Amino acid sequence: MKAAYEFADFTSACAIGVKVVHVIRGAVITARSDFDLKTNSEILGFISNGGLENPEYIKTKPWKNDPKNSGIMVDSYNFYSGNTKGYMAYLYQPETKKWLLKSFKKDNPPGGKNLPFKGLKQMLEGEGGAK
Amino acid sequence: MSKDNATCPACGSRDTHRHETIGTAYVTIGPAFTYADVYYLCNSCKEEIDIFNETDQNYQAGQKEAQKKFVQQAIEYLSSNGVGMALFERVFELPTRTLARWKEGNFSSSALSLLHIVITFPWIIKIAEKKFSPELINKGLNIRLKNMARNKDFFQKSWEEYCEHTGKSLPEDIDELRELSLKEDCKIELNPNYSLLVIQKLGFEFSILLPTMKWIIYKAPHDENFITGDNPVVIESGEFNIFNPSFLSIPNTKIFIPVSKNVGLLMTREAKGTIDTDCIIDDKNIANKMNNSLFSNAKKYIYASEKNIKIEELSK
Repeated sequence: MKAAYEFADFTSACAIGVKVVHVIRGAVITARSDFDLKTNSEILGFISNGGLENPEYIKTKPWKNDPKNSGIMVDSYNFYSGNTKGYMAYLYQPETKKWLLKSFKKDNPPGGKNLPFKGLKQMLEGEGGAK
Repeated sequence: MSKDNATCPACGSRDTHRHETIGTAYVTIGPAFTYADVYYLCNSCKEEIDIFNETDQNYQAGQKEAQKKFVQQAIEYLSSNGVGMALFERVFELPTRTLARWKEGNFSSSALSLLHIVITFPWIIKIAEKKFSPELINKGLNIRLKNMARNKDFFQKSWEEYCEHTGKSLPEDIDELRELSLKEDCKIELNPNYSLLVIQKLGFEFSILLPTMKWIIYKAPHDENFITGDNPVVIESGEFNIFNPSFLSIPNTKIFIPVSKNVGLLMTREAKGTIDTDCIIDDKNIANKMNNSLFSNAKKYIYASEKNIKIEELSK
């Protein structure tokens, strides 16, 4: 699938700043913990200043919280900052003419911590598990 | 400033409600600060957004005050350890009275970074005094490499962890490299950044200091259990809130680790390599303090053995 927005349009908007790009609270929290970017301005400054190294388009999907089902799409990308791999997702709301950074966090591959029930089926059905 | 019913930038609805909580954060290797964490919850799209950037302003104001405190403490700490302001200015080629201006609150982000580096790696002052001589840097790094190489397993593991961290491949001649490192006239040309990363990431300084620490056993009071979390180590010193193993070289640094719901270990540098079995402490204030710190340190998860009133109190 093709990206819904031009990546350069988003980074240019980030250069304008918080008047045109809003960062969802959850994204601010993860940007702070994962990338030491503490405020909205720091996040947008980082993006507009070329901080996203090797951005790679992942997918586009509908905005799941869209109350009007107006067909707004969310683009998601992977990027690097040094050795850290990141994930970000954003959308554009034509009604308010604002960009929304929905996600900005470290891209953790699925592992034991974020798939806690990964082995459950095996445990229940497999050898040594409860029959 | 608009409060409730501000327009949601995500969906355009005016059905928004302003929320304000107290957030806590730390400046890098410095004190904690609090700020008013403001966001607007849109009842239509359920997104939470700081529409008017109030949190940004509150955060920056709180951070600035905490940074001022850090700069003052850092300069005073350096002075009390023989690095006066004039010496600092001379070795780093700064104009006179630069540190006095920093101490008064007139400092830049670069100044903060320099202080972070000097506090974390105080020996950098000696290198700066020698005009960052590559020979001296290599000599210092070779001494550290030699110390690492004395333990074969540690040396091997260190390189493996470094390579895993950086995505580089393990040197094929690692045994040869170790032998070479142990020679008296060892002069491996090292990239300073590369080697510093190895040393820092592997907690090398931490590991050699461990046997020199005094270990104290804390027992939780009968009506209180230790909690733990996804960041289960509390590090504190008389001077700073320090989250870096390198700081173990600073006297009075204390490290607390809960090992079960009833027992915690505290390491200090007060005496050498002893487990003080006479020092089993059952102190409600300390248990409370450590639990509070563990709660604040946690990034996402807190663990407790059972229904824990303390967690409920802290979560409010």
